[in-house]
Amino acid sequence: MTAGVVTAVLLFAIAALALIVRRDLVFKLVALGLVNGSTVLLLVSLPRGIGSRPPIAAGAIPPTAADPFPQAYVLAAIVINFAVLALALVFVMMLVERYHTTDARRLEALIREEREAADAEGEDA
Amino acid sequence: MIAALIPLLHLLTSALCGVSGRMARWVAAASWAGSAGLIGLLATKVVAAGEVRYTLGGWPNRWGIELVADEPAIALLALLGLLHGCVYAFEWAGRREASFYVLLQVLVGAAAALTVSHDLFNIYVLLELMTLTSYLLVGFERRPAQLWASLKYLLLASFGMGLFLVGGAVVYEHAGTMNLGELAAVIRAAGDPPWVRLAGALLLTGVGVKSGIFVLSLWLPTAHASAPLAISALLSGVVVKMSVLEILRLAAIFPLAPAIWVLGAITGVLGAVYALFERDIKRMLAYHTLSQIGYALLALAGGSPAAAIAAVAYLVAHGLFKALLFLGTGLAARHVGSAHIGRLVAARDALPRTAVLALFVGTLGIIGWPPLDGFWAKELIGACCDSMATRVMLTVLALGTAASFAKLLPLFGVHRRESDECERGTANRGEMVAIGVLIAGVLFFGWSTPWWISGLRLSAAKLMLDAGRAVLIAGAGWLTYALLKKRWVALPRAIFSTEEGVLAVLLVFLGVWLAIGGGA
Repeated sequence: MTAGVVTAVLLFAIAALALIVRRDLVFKLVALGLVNGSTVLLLVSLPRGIGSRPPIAAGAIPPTAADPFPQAYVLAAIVINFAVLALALVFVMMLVERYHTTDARRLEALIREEREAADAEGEDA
Repeated sequence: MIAALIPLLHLLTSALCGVSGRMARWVAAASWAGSAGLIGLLATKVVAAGEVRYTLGGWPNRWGIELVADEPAIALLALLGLLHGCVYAFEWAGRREASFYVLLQVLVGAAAALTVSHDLFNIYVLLELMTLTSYLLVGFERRPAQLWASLKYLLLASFGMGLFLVGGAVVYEHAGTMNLGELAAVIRAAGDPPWVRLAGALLLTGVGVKSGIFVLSLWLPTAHASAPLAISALLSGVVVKMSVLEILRLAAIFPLAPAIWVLGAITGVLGAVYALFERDIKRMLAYHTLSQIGYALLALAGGSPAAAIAAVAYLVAHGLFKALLFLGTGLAARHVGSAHIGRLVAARDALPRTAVLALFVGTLGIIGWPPLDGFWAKELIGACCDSMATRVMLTVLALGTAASFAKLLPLFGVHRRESDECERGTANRGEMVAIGVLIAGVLFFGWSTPWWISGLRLSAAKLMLDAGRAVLIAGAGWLTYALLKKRWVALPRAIFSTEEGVLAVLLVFLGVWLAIGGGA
C-alpha cells in the first residue's frame, strides 16, 4: 500500500461520515466532492499504475512508463463528478428559493407535511 | 457493429432534437423507428449465433471497448425500445418541449449502451450518464417534491458510485484489466484470493444503490412516485433493470450468490409490506418495483445460466406490466388530478375506460394471474430454482403482491347507475396506442418466450397445477387484505432520509462482504 492509497481510504471514510452526520445540504455536497476526490486519488496512486515516465512512445511503451488506463478512468470520473455536483447545486438553489433552508432534515419534514396534507385530501374524498 | 450503432443513433438524434424546436417529437419518433429496426436486426443475429461480440476500433480487449450482445442484453434492449416508444406515444399529444426529448434520447441511448457493455470502465460511465439524465427527468416539472426526490437520489447514487469506483480500483490493481471476460479468466486462474470478495462486495453495493434493492435504493419510492408519470413508467420499467443486468454480469464473475439471495429476500418482503400500507397508487407502484426486483434477485441467486435467463424474463415481464400500471395511473390521474386510491375510487365513473382497463390488466399481470406475463415469468423462475427456501420466498412475495393490489379492486366494480349523467373521460389516440401495445405485451408474453429462451421445458400438467395455485394465492391475498384493512399500520418513514441511506449503504457493503466470506 502506498501513502496515496492510505490517504484515499481515510478521506473516503471522512467523507462518508460527513454525509451521515452533517445536515446542511451544501456541506453534504462538499462531502460528496470529497468522496469523488478520494476515489480519484486512489486510482492514480495504485501501485500498478505508477511509473516514472509519461506513457508516450512511438513504438513499444517503456516499462517505466506510467499506466495510462487508471488516468483515463480518473479523467472520466472527474468530468462526471463535475456534472453531478453542478446539477446538485442547482437543485439546492431551487429548493432554497422556496423553503429558505439548506437543512436536510427540515426540508424532509416540510416536504413530507405538504405530501401528507395532499394525502389527507384523498382520504376525505 | 449494430450494437454500437443503436446508442450512437440515440445520442446523435438527441442533439438534433435540441435544435429542432417544435419538430423535436418528430425527430425523436424517427430516431425511435430507426433504433427499433436496428434492435430487430441485432436480435435476429443474436438468436442465430447465440452471442455477437464486437470491439470498437479493433483495439485489444484490455484497452479497447468490447461490446457483447447476448440473450439477456437483447431481451432488455427489446423492452427498452418498446417502452421508449410507448412513452413517446403516451406523451405525443402533450407536445412536451424539446429538452424533454433531448433528455429521453440520452437516457435511452445510455441504457442501450449499458446492455451491451462488457467492461467496468464503460459500465461506470454509462451508469452515471443514465442516472444523470434520470435526475433531470425526475425533476423535470420543477415541483419542489420532485427536486427534493431527485436530489436525494443524486446524493445516494453518487455515493454508491464512489464505492463502485473503489471496487474498480481494487479490480484493476490485482487483475490489470477491467474487461469482464478477461477478469473472469484472471479470477479463475488465481483461485480464490481475498481481493475478489472485497471487489465483488464493493461493485455489488455500488450498482445495488441504483437497482432498486430495498435497503440500498431508499431514494427510489420517492423519486419514482414524484417523477412525471410517463417517466416513472420508463424509470421503473426499464432503467432500474439496467442496473440489475449489471448485477447479473457481476454475479457471473464474482461469488456473490448468497448475498444476492439475502438482498432479494429483504427487498421482496419489505417492498411488499410498504406497498401494502400505501394508498397513493404511484407510491404503491414504486414500492412494488422494489418487491419485484426481489423476485429477479432470488432467481439470479440460483446461479445457473437458466436461472439468469429466468431472472431476465421476470425483468421483462415486470417492465411490461409495471409500465402499463404507471401509464394507466397517469391517464387516470390526468382526469382526476390525484393518484390517491380514495380519490380514484370516488371518481370511478369519470375515469377513461382505457385507464381502468390498463390498471385491470396490469393488476392481473403483477399478481401472476394465468396466463398473463407475470404467471409465465414466475413459471420460468420456478422451473430453474428448486431450493425450498426460494420456493417459500416466492410464495410469500406472491401473496404480498396480491394482498397489496387487492386495494385496487373497488376501481373495477360494475358501473353504478345513479351517476349515469357523470361524464366519462376519454383517452386520446396516443395514450390508447401506448396502453394497447402494453396490454398486448402482457397478454402475449408467454407465447413469445419459446422464441427467445432456448431449451425451455414446461409440462402441461405442471402448468395447470401452477395456474390453480396462482388463482388460490390471488384469493388468499385478497383475504389477507380484507383482514388487514381495519388494522392499518403507519410504517416508519425516517429510513428514507439521506443520512440513514448513506449509513445503510455502508452497512450493506459490510454485510455483503461478510456474507460472501470476505472476513474469513
